[in-house]
Amino acid sequence: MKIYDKEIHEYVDELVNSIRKVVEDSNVLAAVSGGIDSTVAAYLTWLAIGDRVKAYIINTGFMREDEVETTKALLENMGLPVKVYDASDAFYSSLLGKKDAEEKRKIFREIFYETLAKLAKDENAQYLVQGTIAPDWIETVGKIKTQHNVLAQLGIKTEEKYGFSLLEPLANLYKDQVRAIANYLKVPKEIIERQPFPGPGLLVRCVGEVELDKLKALRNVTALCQDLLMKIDASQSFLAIFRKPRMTTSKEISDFIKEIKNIVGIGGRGFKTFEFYENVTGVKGDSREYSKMLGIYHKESELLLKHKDEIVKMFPKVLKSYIRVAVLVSEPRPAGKYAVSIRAVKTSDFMTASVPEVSIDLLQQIVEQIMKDIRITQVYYDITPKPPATIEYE
Amino acid sequence: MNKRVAILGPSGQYNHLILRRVKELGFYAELFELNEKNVLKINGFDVVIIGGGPARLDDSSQEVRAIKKLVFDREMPVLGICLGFQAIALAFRGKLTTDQPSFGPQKIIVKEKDVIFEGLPDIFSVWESHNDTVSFLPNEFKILAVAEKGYIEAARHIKRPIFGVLFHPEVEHTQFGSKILHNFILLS
Repeated sequence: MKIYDKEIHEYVDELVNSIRKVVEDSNVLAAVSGGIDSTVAAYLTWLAIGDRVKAYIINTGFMREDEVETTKALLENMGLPVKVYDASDAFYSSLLGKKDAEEKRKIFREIFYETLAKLAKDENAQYLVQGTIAPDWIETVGKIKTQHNVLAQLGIKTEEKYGFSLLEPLANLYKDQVRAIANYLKVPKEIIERQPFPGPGLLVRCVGEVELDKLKALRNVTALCQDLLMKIDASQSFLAIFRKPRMTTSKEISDFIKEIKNIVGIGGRGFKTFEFYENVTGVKGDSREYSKMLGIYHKESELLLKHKDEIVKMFPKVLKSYIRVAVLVSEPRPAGKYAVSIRAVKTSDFMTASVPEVSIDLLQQIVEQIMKDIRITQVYYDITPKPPATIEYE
Repeated sequence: MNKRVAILGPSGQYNHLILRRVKELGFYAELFELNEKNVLKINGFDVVIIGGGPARLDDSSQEVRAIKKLVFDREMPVLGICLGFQAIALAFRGKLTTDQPSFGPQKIIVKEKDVIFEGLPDIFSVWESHNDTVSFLPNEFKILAVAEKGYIEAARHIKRPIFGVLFHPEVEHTQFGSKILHNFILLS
């Protein structure tokens, strides 16, 4: 594979040389998450300037179970020395109780960079290298959502505000191109094959209000079905948690159900529909929409899933107040405060994404694991592609 | 092979992807913002691709004024994608409608295998993201492809190499997208 019009080795050589030229004899702080982007960016810088790279894993408190330890071990196996800095108290004290998606992302970004500013000062680093890739700044500049790592493109002067300049060697690349470079650099498979995980982590998968109990439930169910989620034929598969949605109906919903009955070929009154309390993000006609999500239930959920592509093709025209549709795949149980949505997508560049088929057996195994947490009352499978939905929920 | 491609992007999220695809095909390409000034400035390019964007267009939109300059004052082949197509339609006194929004997968049916669809099947899947569709085109255009639901997916000017597609050939979920871009660039 070529990167744009260059061979990979030429492209990498040029990146390494340009990093060396820009940095001169300064120290560089690297914030690494264990994801492929930040790892490749830090590793390229390490190739360019060696030990003057000071790599840190920031524990934000929104990581998955055991993530910090596993990541540290992987990076050290690559030869990249890395330290852990625990900032979870600072993140929790500003974020617990917050509801608005954009506000959550902005506060996260603020604290994240304040933490880095402190570390840069401690390490006498004039630069911060980060793994920003093209979709990050395209979505932020296009106001689809505020990515936590996009500053320069928004006109934020990091030198004045945080005391470091930014180094973003991957800013023109897409995920599949970064993956090709990582393969060329012999980055460990666990890092290359690791699914993308957003910088703000479980914060943005705790949709709506951030509560400690909700976050813990999400972390627990994520750990419970991590291996099963990997069995879905997807580029990314994860769980998000919501407040238990309310049963609802309206004129457009009954029109929508009528269309579904035509598509699926089932009649009768067996449908139930639920409206989620939290708004979720989407992208329609190149602009961001922040709108509602609808859950549908019928005991023949298998049939709904089988016809999901026809349903999502039809829904934007009929169901104008909603941006996402998810199929309820668990049998409702009365106890429990939260609903969980299984989100799986297929994509290589993360700019557009389709939703894969999942066998009902695998889905039932996942549901069974999730329902082990008694705080959960419903489990959905999100059937909305990107567009109109985004991959994450906020 | 040394064709030079100018991409005019009305701030759509896929505009940078057009740049990527065209470079991957081995052509020289540059991305500019779509406005009247840049339309007059792009010299030394063989073809122009207009990308998508978030604006909702009418006859007085700056995007449409820029496209008028491009198609009436200059002679390069033009391919409009999504908003680019809508702007071409309005520049030639066509009409838009909000009746057929479509996001994500769609099937298209090729009615006429003009150059841009050369070597492609008659029916294939594409990826879309539009609130507005082109509901009317004047006689100097012919329709090349339609959606399953019947609305216009692709058209061309009958005399000049001016093309429009409503779907996004630059995204990975559109089948044969790079081939369509390739066909268009090579026709110049």
